Amino acid sequence: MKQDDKTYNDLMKSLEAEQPSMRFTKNVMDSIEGLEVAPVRKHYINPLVIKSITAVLVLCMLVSLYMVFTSGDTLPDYGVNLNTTKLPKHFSSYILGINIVLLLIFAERWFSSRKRIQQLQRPH
Amino acid sequence: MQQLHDADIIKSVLQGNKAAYAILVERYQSYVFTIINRLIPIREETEDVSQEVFVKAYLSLAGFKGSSKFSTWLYSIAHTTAISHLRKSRPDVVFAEENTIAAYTDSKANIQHPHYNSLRVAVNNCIKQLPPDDAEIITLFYLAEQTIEEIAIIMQLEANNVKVKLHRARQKLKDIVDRAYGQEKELLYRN
Repeated sequence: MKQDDKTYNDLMKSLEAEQPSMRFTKNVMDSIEGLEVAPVRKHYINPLVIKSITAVLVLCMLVSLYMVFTSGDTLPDYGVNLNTTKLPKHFSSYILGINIVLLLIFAERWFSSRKRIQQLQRPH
Repeated sequence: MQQLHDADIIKSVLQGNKAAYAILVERYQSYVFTIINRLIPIREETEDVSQEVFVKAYLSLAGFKGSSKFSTWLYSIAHTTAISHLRKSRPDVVFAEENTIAAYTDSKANIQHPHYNSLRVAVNNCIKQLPPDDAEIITLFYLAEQTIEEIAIIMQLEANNVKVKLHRARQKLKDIVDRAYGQEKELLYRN
């Protein structure tokens, strides 16, 4: 089995690239003849637009929170009878637990993507 | 003569020395061509798409920040250009199921059997029998010498997903080599 793996690995080391036509480089150089390197665009979307959207969202959240905390009234009765007795005993704890797990998953993904970017940024 | 670093060549091109770009084209053309050929097996189309890749890379060269290797950046352009070419030219193309591939592989193995003229031809024949994305991942890893993380960037996948796909592709290739050459694969090295 080991010999088989070695044979296979040796086989993979023998891989060679396919070759394009002899004129390939010349064709590419002819194609870029009249072209210039495009200048770098720092942002694809105007940063003012992004800032405005963020500001509106933050404002909405703050207003909502303010309304929730300053309103002393209980929720109005909309006539919907929710039978909460049928829900499991610690239903809200389960929901909280699921949210924490989701949060941990997102955090892990975020940290691993950061790590990957840092690895790639190391000098070669 | 000492080989110029990619970064120095890029700097020179950005300073207006357009001719220096030919060095990069010479250096990477066979790799780009091979990666695209794994996805688009028709040689003429591969050549056109490879050319398009180098033109695109030239136009956006100023946007290359050097946060990854130039080759990784170039191969990711090659991957996306080949995929969008396939979507445009063959919108109805779907990847075959594994059973279909196995049956196809069997038939090809019977046809191409023993009188290969070189080791390179033999291995390339086997790789061409893999599904396109498996052939691409094998090519990026073994030929273009990209790491798992770099392949993840090129193919826009998670690194773990790349690991799994690479393992499966390797296994499939091993099966193809065994089916096509069996005991004779030892003899390949003596040719």
